[in-house]
Amino acid sequence: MHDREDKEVTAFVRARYGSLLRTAFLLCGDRGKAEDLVQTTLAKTVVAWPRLQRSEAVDHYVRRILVNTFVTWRRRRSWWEQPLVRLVESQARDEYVGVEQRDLLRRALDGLPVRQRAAVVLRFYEDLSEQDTAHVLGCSVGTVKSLSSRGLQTLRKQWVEADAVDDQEVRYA
Amino acid sequence: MHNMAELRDGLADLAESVVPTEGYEGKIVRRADRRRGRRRIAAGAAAAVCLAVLVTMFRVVGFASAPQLAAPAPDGPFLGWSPVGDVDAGLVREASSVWDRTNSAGPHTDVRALVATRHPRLRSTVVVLQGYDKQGDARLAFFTGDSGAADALRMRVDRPAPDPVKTQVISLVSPRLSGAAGEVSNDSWGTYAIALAMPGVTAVRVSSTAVDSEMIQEPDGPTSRLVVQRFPIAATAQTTTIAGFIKPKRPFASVTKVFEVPGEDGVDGDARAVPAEVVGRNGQQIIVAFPKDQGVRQGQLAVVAEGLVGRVTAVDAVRGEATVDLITSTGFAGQVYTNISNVPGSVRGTGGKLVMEDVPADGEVYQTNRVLMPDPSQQSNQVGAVTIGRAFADKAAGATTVELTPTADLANLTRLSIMTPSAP
Repeated sequence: MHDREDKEVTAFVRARYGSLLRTAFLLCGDRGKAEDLVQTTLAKTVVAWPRLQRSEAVDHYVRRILVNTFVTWRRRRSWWEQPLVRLVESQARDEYVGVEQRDLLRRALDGLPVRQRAAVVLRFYEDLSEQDTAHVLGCSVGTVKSLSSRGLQTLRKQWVEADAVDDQEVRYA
Repeated sequence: MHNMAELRDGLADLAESVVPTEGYEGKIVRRADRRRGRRRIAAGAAAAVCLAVLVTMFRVVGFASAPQLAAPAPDGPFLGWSPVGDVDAGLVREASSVWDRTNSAGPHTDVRALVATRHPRLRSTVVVLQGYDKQGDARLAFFTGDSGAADALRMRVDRPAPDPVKTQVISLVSPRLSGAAGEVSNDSWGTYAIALAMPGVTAVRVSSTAVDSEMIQEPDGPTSRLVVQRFPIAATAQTTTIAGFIKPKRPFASVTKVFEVPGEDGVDGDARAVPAEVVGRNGQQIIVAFPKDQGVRQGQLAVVAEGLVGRVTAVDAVRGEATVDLITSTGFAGQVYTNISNVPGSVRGTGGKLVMEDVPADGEVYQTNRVLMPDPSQQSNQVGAVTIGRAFADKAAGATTVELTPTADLANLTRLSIMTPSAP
């Protein structure tokens, strides 16, 4: 009985680890912390596995644990380094535009409040519906709309600012 | 990033760069094991805390099951109770000597004391002994001091030893406990009740319906198994109730009543109460059955603890039955007086109510004042006078009548006592 459960849970971990790691990375913006987050999430899932087997929404459960753990960790300031001031640095010119774009997006995501960031990642990376996102975040659909909208607004603003810096740097170069 | 598609692509592109490192399964399993261990420890600690809280609650707050009174093993035919307080060996010797001299049943052997002490409320000594008489019968005797003879011990009652298994309390109630043998106290508060409860009882309450102001010992208060209570001279064993309580030695534990019994009498000169059972009701009369050859006569009073029920009007000695006129019946009448102020008058039943008449116009009778009827079986109008009722309302100025409310529940009578003179 236990062997069968072990096999099932191991298979589940292997199947989901990669995708969860990517989502975790988008949430926290750091590979090391993303691994930590996913491993904690899956450890909780392993402990709860006998109970979860009777539930069909294992993925929902795991996603919810991931987001909740992330939000909880962010609230514990000791775990998360908080910048004292925003560092405005000029963008190093990169010959690879893709790399620059990724860097810009990562910085923009870092600037979002934790729940806005989670809403944006769930809606636009995980492609969850507003209903499912609300379920994972444990809030109403209206709150999801609000969080997503404000998150997108902030991303756009930071994107425009970054473009402006690029333009100026090009102009004065 | 100016539209959603760009954002989706950007996020996918950003996440794509992250690839799992080797060995993550082992790390997850180790974390899961640590989490299980912590959860077990937390669950164990929580269970221990809950258990501790429950145990504390049961022990401290006293939510345990109702405490039981464990009867001590009988000492042969005698009560196997330990003595109350310190037993004065000199008093025991003196009481044994008095016991042997007082009647022809001595000498007594195997004498053991339940009480042998000086009691402040009685302002005298109290001794209770058990022993065999010369016929080998187990007996129990009460002794108290004679205030008129330098507190010399007098035997007040000598009874067969009570059931050593079922008995929870022994008592003696009489107005003849402080003077010479058979002599009624001159004090208006000269009736004493002595009650001795079995070991394990933590409080004893002795109360009498002959007292207007409730004189009930506080069950939570410091007391002992021996209680000596002083009552008005009208109090008798029939109007006295003895209750025993136990309280576990826990803070906040509730007190549980373990027995409530009427007082016991039997002192020479006391009126004797003949127990009777109500076997029929005939309008304003009741028919009672009593043990034969008990000296029940016409004109004797029928009482319960709360007060007077009626008067015996006919006796069928052969069948052991008596007819009792209820106090509210039209045939009932008699002389009475108020407990406070001693205002005289007469009472008469009206067929449903009870009226006090012939009250002096200047006599003061107020609502709830207790009205007493002398017992013809007693030595005087005051000794053992029975409460017949209480004034229903204040007597109007100049009026000579006042309605009374009977203190006994006449509608629900099952047992009563017929008061007979001391000598049958």
